[in-house]
Amino acid sequence: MLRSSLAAAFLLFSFSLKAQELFPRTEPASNSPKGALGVRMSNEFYREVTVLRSMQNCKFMWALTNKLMLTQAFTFANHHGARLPDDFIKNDGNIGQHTHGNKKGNTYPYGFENASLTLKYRFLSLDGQNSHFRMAAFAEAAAGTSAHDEAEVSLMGDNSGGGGGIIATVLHKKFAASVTGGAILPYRYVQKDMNEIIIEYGNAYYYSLSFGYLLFPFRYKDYNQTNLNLYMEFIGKSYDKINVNLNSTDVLIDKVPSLEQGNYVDVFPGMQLILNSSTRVDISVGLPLISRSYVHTYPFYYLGIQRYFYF
Amino acid sequence: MKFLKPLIFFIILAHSAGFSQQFKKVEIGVDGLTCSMCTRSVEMNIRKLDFVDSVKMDLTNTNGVVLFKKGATIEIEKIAKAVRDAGFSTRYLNAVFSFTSQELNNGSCFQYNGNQYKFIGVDNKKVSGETTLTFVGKDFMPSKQFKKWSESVKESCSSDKRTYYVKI
Repeated sequence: MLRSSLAAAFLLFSFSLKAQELFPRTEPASNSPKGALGVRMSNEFYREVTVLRSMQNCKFMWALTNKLMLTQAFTFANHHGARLPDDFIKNDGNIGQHTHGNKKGNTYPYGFENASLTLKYRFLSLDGQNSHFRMAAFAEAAAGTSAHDEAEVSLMGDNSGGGGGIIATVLHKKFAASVTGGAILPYRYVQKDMNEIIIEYGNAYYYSLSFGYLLFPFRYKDYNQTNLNLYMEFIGKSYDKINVNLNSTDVLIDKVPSLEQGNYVDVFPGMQLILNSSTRVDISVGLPLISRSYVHTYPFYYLGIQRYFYF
Repeated sequence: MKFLKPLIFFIILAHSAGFSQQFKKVEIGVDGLTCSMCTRSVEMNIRKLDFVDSVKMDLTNTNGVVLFKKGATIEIEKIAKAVRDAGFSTRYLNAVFSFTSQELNNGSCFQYNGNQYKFIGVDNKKVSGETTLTFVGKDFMPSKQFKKWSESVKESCSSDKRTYYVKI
């Protein structure tokens, strides 16, 4: 009786429960499989006073070798106009009171923001039967036309420039965790019409810590089972102030938090459904944890769908 | 001259008996698999190989069975490469080979489809019929496990053909 109970208990605990390191808001150190095109469409949206801000990102992922992956992404949004807001610099030459998020809600037409290319190289891979530890380094470049009127920079939509970083991801049975450290080196924005305005953005550094947990299925039987994963991600950023130059004269920036140096950490609880082992649906909400970001209001929502197409 | 056709037929038949030695299937264990999507990507990659008829992955035990098309040229290393290309690694690769009749001595070689296969770590015996061969090499097992065999895989069967190392 005891032996059979022990055997049953052993069988129960020896099921290979696997977590999934497919975090909604960050990239893991693993790459997509070779010979498959990964396509991810995502939408991030939030309310800014009376305006609904929406950003779509369309990402294509292709493994060049089993260690090197190329990602091409396109971002569309209604975050920016074709030019800086008219009151970005006041008539007296001083910086305008940058209030969006608090009072403003400029309506911008929805349009193309930027395109980016990322190369990710997985340089370490240690596999166990139901676990692994991987590390990757990545480099990215983005180009776009957004009239980005804030100090916080991002290569997804807001800025042109380059960047890179390192990712470490660990997986053990039901749990997944990942750490990322990266930098953004933005390119300046130049607007030449009646006046010449040059915005020099400062560099930014970001870091993230992500956790994932496989809630069900309790036991993998076939590919058709729906998987549910829960995630908690922390993403922090530290960025420098901008320098604004109007017709070769520097504009003083004082007491405008969104244009000055900033530091914050946001938290993203999320959940993920995997359907038929082929389609992934991510839902996540962004909330402030330490200080705040000025490029969006809170809460802000994320919805993503990803699929691999095998050739 | 009348006997030429049946003679040719008999010669071909006699030679084809030798070709009935072949790989029947492979049982492969995969490491690093952490989700059903991952297992599926391994299966899709192995399925793409032109000599593969079907792949059945076991999601719980992270292993699978690969069945081959009849008469196809089997390239075992391509199965391990398909696992690597999917982003994972091979824990073990056991190939079921059908021998007509084979003398098995430690260090002896047999040939199949242009490649040489060397027996290592075996006791001298005779095998016939379906025999499971475990492939030994850095592509077929975790590197920690391969370290134990690294000395045994230094001597190849011949200098001009690729040598695979197998144990029973």
